Amino acid sequence: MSGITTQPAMPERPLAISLLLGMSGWAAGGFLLIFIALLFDADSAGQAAILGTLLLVAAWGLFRFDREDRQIFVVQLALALSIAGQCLVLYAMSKDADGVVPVAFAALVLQTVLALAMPNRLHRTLSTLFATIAWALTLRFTLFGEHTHIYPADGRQAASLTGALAVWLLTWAPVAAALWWAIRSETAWVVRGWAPLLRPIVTGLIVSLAFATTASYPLESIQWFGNGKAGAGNLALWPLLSSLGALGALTAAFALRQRALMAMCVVAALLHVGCFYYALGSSLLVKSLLMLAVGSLLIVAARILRPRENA
Amino acid sequence: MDTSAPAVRQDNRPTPDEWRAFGARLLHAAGTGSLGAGVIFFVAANWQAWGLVGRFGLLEAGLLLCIVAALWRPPPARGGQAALLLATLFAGALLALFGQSYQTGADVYELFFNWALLTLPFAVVALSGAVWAVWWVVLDVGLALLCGGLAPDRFFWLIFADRDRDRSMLLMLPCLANLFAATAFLMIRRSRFKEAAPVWLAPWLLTIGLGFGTAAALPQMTNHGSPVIASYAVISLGIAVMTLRRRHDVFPLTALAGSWIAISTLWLVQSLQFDKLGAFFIIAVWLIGSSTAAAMLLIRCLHRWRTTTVEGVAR
Repeated sequence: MSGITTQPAMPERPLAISLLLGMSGWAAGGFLLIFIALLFDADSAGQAAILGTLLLVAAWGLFRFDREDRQIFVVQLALALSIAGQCLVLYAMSKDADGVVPVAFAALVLQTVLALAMPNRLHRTLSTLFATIAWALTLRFTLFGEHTHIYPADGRQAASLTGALAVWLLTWAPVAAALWWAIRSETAWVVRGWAPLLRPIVTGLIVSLAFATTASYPLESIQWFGNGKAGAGNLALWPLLSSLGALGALTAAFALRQRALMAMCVVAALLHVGCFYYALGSSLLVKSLLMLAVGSLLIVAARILRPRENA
Repeated sequence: MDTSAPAVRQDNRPTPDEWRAFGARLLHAAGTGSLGAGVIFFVAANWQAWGLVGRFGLLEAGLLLCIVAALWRPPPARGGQAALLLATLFAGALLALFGQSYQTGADVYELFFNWALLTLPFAVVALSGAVWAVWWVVLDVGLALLCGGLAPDRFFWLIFADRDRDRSMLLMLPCLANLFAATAFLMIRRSRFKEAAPVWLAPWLLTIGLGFGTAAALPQMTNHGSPVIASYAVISLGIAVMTLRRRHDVFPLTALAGSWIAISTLWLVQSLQFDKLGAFFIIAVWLIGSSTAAAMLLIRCLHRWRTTTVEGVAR
């Protein structure tokens, strides 16, 4: 019947055992990769491309062997091999590249292909996340250049606030739109049998919207060491935009009824608020007054919106 | 209609009422978080401007308010438990400010021990797993700092000078403390104070205890490899026997498996010393074999225990 699917079977393996196998898989993968790297000693782009491709094919084979995604050790070993293969292939693709843009673009292409090709949920989710980060970096460095700050603290010639905001929207609006479309049309693509492909990608988009918006920050907006200058522009805006993105991701996770994803989005929002504390561009006093004002407005809005039986 | 398998509709989306309730809760939580962040930012912005009296006054006022709130809404009420949790954090901040303002020469681990001592009544009275969890974090940080921070010329070592103790033996102290605590909370869970011992607390303490024990048994940590490893092995055996007798949860066995895989791998790494290419391969194979074997045994135990439970219920 269209629109009906079987409920997934109850998981048989406790999380602790999965963690044990997962960590062992990664550790074993690390030692195995060191062994392979020392054995083959890839120096040139060609050698790196061949070795990287072989590792990716090996990972694909392991994922196909465990189609049901039940052998956690096999999955994690395959992930470790895949990540090593990706690093080698990316090195081969961008060895002679000049600047960040070619590398970011190469990463975008590679991760997009892997998100479609690798038959594993976790891998597809991670590839979607990395592809989104690569997309953000490609746009940002292409449009603003690699030696120009988006909004510099010392007044150097750079993009205006309007331009920076426009690029932020240009980067993340498509991600949000893709997520919205995927959730709205889920019934249609499940019926077509695309669920194993698109569900992990949807998860990846939610995680990206929650966390990866930091890839669009101006580099000088956060200063971890030394004393930063307040009043240097609107650099403090970016963590607030990221918090908004995290809340949007939280809404998407709620639509899918994914509690773990919702918790992750809450953590992301809190991290962005923490970044706001350290962000340059406004004094701490101004930030505190802003948060108090916003908090009051949100609580008033909550009271207006709350269900009538609770009024 | 197909009744051969349990089914859910694909359009399992929230209803308009659920969306409204979610929106209200989200706005409320975001508003509360924003207000809380605003208060923290405000305090931080003015911290330098307040004198010593002002800073102490602020923290003491916060502590007092929390205690008053706990008396007004005594545990097990949620408000009282939350107040005592905050009071625990305020106490730590107060001690940190005291240590920073008056250079007493005390070590950092002494701060944490004093913090744990002063807030022990809060943890006991709160009847809350969250407060106990925070309290144990404070104590464990103090114990970890004690194990890592004692210089050879400290008075503490004089007590053990003629017994030739070292850091790995000291690490067994927090190991045992956490394991005893895990056992105690398992027993509390069966008593009328079970609210103070949520399901996750005992496994969490067990994990920390085994973490300290694993650290004690690692190479380069001890001049007394055999006694330390033997004592940790005896402790591990005891935990395994208790778990196998209870036939309830495989988590303790899983944690033990992880601990001994880590110990054995690191001892293997030390003995092979990476002077041959094959060393990496051997370690990879050891990891693959040991973890796979452990997982197979654990899952077999799990299925056997679940089968026994189902049959017991069926009868």
